[in-house]
Amino acid sequence: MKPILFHKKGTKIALYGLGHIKDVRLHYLLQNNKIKFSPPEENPHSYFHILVLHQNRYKGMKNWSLKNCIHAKMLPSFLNLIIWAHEHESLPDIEQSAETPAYIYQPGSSVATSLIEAECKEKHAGLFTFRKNEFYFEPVWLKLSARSLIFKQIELSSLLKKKQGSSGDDLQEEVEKFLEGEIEGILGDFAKKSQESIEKNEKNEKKEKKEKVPLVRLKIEYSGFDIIRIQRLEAKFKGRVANEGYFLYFIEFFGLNCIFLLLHFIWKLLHFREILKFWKKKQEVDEQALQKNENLTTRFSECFRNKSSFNTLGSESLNDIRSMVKILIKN
Amino acid sequence: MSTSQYYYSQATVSQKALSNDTFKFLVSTDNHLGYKETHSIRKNDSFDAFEEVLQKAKDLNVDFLLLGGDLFHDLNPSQESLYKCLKILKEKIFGDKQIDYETFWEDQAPNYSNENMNISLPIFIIHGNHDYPSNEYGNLSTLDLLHAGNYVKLLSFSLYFPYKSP
Repeated sequence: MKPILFHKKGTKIALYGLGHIKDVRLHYLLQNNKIKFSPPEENPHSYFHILVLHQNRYKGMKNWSLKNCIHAKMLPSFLNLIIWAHEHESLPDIEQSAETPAYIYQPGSSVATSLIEAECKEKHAGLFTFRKNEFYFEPVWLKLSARSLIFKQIELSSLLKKKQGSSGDDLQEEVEKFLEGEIEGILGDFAKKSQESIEKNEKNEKKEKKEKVPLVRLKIEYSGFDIIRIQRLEAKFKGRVANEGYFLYFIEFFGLNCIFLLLHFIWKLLHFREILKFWKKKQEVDEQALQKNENLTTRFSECFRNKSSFNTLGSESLNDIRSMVKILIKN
Repeated sequence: MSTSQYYYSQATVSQKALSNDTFKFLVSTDNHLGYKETHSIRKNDSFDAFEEVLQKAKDLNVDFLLLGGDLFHDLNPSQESLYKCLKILKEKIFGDKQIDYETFWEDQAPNYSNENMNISLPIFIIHGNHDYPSNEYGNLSTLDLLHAGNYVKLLSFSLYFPYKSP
C-alpha cells in the first residue's frame, strides 16, 4: 500500500487510504500480516504518517464481538495518526491509547442518520495545522446546518405503581397524557435554549441562524401494558417535530409484571440487553437459549412472588437459569 | 512517539496568530448525501452540512480536504442528489488560489495539476461501505465518477481488485 507524500516548508506528510472491506476479512488479513505498507524509503522517520480507515471500531465487551471489528493494535506501529471513519459518534479530541503509539481521531458523521443517544452530540470537522515539527488540532463546529437531536428514556412502570386498579382504556388515556407532557416539556426546553442563543448572537452581531425543528426520540419501556396507539399523539406534534411518524419507539420489557421495587431493579440489571431490543439481531446466542427454556421465566417469577419455592424447580431448570445469567452477564 | 519528529502540542493557538508557514487540512466523514431526500422536512439536511464543511474549508484557507468515505447514502444515488452534490462542488472548489506544496504520488497526479482546471481546494476521499465499488455496477461507484471528472481524488487502495488508472 503506497501513500501520497506531501512536502511543504519543512513538514512532510505521508497519507495512506484504505477503503472499506468486510471487517472479518480485514481482521484476518491484518493478523496474518498479509498487507504490506510501504512507507517512503529515504527517511521514513521524517514523515508524519496518517492512515484513514472506514471500518468498525472495537467498542468494549458489551455489544460487540471480537472478530467483527478492528483493534488499533493490529495496525502497524510506524503510523502517527489514525483517522476512523464509519463511526457516527463525534469525539472532538485526539485520543491516545496504551495499545499503539499513534494518536487516534474519530470525527463522526456530519448528519445524524440514526436516532440514538450517541448522535446527540454536536457535529464537527477536524482541523489539523502543522508548523514544522508541531501540530495542533481544533474542532470546527458545524453550527449553521445542525439539526439538534433530543433523546430521552422513559419507564412506564412508574405510572403503573400509582394507579394499579384502573382498566384498559383509562390506562391508555393516562399514558397518552403522560407522554404528551414529556414531549411538550422537551419542546419547551428547546424553545428556551434557541431563544437564548439567538439573543447571544444578536449581541455579538453575528448572522441570525434560523433554528431548525428538532428531532425527538423517546425510548419507552412498557411492561404490563398492551400496545399503545400512537397516531393521535403523532398528529398533535406534526409541525413541531422533524421526524414525524416514528419518534416513539416501544421496547418490551421481557413481558413480566414485577411488582416489588428491588426485584424490578434486579431484573433491570439482568435483562439490560433485552431492553435494547433492536440490537437483538446480532446476538443469536440469546435467542436460542431463551427459546429452549420458555417456562423458565414464569417459574422464576413465581418463585419471587412466593407462589412456589426454589425447591420445586428442579436441578435442570436451575442449571438453565445459571447458564442464562452467565450469558447475559458476559455480553 | 519517540521515533518520530512530530509532537502534538495541546496549546490552543488562534488561527490569526499562526503565520503562513503552516500546513493545514480539514477532516470530515460520513456525509451521507441523499439521506431521507423524500422526507418533506429533512430533505436538505445532509446537503446543508456538506456545504458548510466545504465553506469552512474555504474560509480557513485550508490546503486540502480529507473525506473519510460514505459520501453518498445509496450505492446508486438519485439524479437529484448527484445534481446537488455537483452544484455544491462547483461553487466551492474552483478558484485562483495558488497551491504552495508539492505532492508525490506514484501512479497518478493530484487534482490540481491538470492544466485546464483551476482548482483551489483539492479533495481526497476513500470508499465507504455505502459507496463500495460492486460487481453489479461494473466495479464502479459514484466516487469513481467524481474522480473521472477531476472534482475529487480517490485515495483508497482496494484489496479485492487493483486500482484502475484514470
